Amino acid sequence: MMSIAVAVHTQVGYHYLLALYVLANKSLSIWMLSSFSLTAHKLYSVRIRLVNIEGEIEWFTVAYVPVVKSLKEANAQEQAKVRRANVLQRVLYLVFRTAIAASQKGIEVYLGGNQTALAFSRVVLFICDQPEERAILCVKSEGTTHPYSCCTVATKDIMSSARFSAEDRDVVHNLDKELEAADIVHHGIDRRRQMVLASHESIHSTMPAVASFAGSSTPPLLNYEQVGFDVFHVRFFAPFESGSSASDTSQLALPSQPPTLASNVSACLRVSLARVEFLLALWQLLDVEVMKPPRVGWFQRGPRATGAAARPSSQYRRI
Amino acid sequence: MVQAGWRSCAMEEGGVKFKAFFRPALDLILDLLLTRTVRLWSGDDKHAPPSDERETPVQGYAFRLCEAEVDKLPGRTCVLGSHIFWDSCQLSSSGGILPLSVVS
Repeated sequence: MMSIAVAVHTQVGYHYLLALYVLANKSLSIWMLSSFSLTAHKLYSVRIRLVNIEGEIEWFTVAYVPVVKSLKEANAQEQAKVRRANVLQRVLYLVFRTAIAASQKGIEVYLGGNQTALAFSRVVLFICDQPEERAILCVKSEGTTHPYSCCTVATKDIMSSARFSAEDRDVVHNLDKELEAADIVHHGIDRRRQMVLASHESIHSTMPAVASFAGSSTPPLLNYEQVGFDVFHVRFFAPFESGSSASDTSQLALPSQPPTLASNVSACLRVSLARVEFLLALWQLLDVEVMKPPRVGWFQRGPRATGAAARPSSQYRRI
Repeated sequence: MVQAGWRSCAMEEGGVKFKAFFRPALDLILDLLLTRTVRLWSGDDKHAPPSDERETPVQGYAFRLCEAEVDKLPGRTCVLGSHIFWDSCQLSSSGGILPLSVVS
């Protein structure tokens, strides 16, 4: 502690040390030690579950992806998009680097009785929303000619019958193009070719880390089919526990049993009541904040002032 | 964090420095194989024949396709299927959540 205090004291300008003990019940805690301000970590969590496990469903956090903000710079939005895509893919690669190797070569699993089997890891489902899906697969989310990740239907054909006959995305072809675009960016050559690739194929110039898994880019080529919902655990309302914290090491509260009709009805009632309460609160807020004197007209609500307590007549100007 | 198997990584992207926290997914999977009851095949001790049964995730479409591919390899093989969840709405924050005590 003393050494830190001395180090801070030797800095130029007026500094002081704010030392903190951070206490957390669970295993993960993020330590903060800073002069002048408390800096909070805000990170997106990545969670996985092994589907071979029998019994209760358990989710485990494997990574915290840093939040990438737009900076004050030229072409800031575009720069931030590139940074976000690259940071996400790099973190995913860090997490799954050894699992990707195991998906190609396999790992020995002991079955008992001196018997072994060669186990190959596979990603069979990536649960995320549409913007995250586009980020994970490294395809453009806006200004794209092919807005769907699984097929090549053009934007202009979405509402026509042509969408039924659209071909599936060719995994190997798309990954080849992404690899070529990423290579161009890496070496800083032929920028025009990279832009043509990006616009024609609706891709970012980044390689998707999850495509390195065997099974995604090799038969059965599930790269564009692995994103979706877990159909066993879809509920109408509140499927996930909200408000997870960094101290929360892992568990995502997914139901272990499919919901019953009674649970769905009660959930529906709870949501309806919550909505009514929200609307009432909003109405009160509008009532207090917006319709307050002296801007009110003859429709003013609120306690009536009478007699000596009446407000000055100047406040009651009609609109 | 290190004792729990977590690692941190400082990276630079486009001139901006970031710090990410992660733990290798394979280490976690191997730990789970040792500590949990595991079903390695969709069938009893080999992959199940095609059917419409969808009672567990190992009977899912993707898992069975992967299992069929792996089964072509020599020796006794199995698939360790994993689901990944990532949502940018699920933002983990250390600010204002952990109880703090300030040393004066």
